[in-house]
Amino acid sequence: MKSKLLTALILGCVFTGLGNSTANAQEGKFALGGYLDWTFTAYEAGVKPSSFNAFHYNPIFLYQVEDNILASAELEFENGGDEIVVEYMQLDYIWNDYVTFTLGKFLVPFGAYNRRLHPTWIARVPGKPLSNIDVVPTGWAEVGLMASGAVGLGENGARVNYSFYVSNGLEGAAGDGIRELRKEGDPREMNNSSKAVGGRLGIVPTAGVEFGVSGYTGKYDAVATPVLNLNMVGVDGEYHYQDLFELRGELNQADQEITPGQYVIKRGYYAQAALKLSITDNDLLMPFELAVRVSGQNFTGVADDIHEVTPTINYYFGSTTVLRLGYSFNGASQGATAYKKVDNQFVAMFAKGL
Amino acid sequence: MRLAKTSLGRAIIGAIVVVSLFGVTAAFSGEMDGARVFRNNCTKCHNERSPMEKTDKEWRVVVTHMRTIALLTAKESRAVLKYLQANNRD
Repeated sequence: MKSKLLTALILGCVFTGLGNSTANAQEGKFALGGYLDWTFTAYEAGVKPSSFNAFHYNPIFLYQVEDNILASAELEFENGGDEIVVEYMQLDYIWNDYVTFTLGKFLVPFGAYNRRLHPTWIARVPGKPLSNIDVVPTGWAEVGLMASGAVGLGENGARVNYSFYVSNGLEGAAGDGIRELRKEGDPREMNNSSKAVGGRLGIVPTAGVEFGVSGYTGKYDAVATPVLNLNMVGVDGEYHYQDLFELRGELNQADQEITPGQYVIKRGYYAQAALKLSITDNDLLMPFELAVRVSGQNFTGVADDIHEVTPTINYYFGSTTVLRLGYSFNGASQGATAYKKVDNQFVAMFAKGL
Repeated sequence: MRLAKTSLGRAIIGAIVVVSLFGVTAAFSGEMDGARVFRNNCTKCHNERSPMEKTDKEWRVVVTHMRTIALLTAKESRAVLKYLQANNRD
């Protein structure tokens, strides 16, 4: 905890100190962003106590070092401050119109959810899709080097975009849950000498539509000479009608080697739709949005398959301020036998983009 | 689905080369409509933010950041910045 507080303090001093000590020279080089949220969760069968949570306060600090160099960092204060981590801390060097190099700790471009959509003021439904917890983790940052960019294909918004990286990679003990392999909060000084590679290639055929394919491969056992492979592949897609309706989803698969030659296949999916009722032009309905997410994970017999359906009503106080009321219907199956889980849950979330 | 590291590595290098070569030939003339680019891309993830929220200089920093997150083209990010700066208080 001390090291985390120290990191937060150093980052704060760096950003505020730079601003104060050379105010004139630095004027206009800083910007702040981020988000915060508060939640209340209650469980249908009372299997867990209902609880309030000051869930996230994630300020993002941006510093334009040069016209083509940007330093950025996101601090994460989670669960009332019990968890303080640096979500990412990176330097972007815009080499030319088509290639940007990112050095440092960056959010991994696997699908769209991890890098772009997980902030709670952006995600239309409370909680994470099941495809993006233990199949492909969310809040997944890697330390390494990334090249990314985009190329326009015409005047209708069509383009190709790409992100490819080499990084230290996920690391942990044989068979650890993939989410645990992130080692969130650790300095990511790895025992494992093997590097991971991965990336995403996206295609925007026309404005409002995007498809992407992602991949990752590396060895994850935390020893000097690792042998256990972790390979992931995913596809994602989204469709938007203006800013009124969206449909998006991901299909992800992870092949995790548990012992040499023996793999566990983990698959996950999610689909989400959201409709803003401003489409009705009714003043009363204007601030509301209806959303629903369906997601699931399948560990091919190693654990129960689980799935959820979460209808949500969103009320926007402003473009960046929202109250979400969601109810998750959770289910599971063991082999061919489906059963209803008893932890259906209601979530009220207030989220604010900064 | 066991991705050979060497195959993936070759694929990555190949993709970068293809995209870079394509970029050289994909020069489109004419000015983009920044408002349209803004609405077509920024609102894919989040609600539309008001240009009034930030100063010209702050928007420059934010758009540089969002260019790498949203993977906008250089031309699109310049059009968005121009739109935001033209419609705030500065």
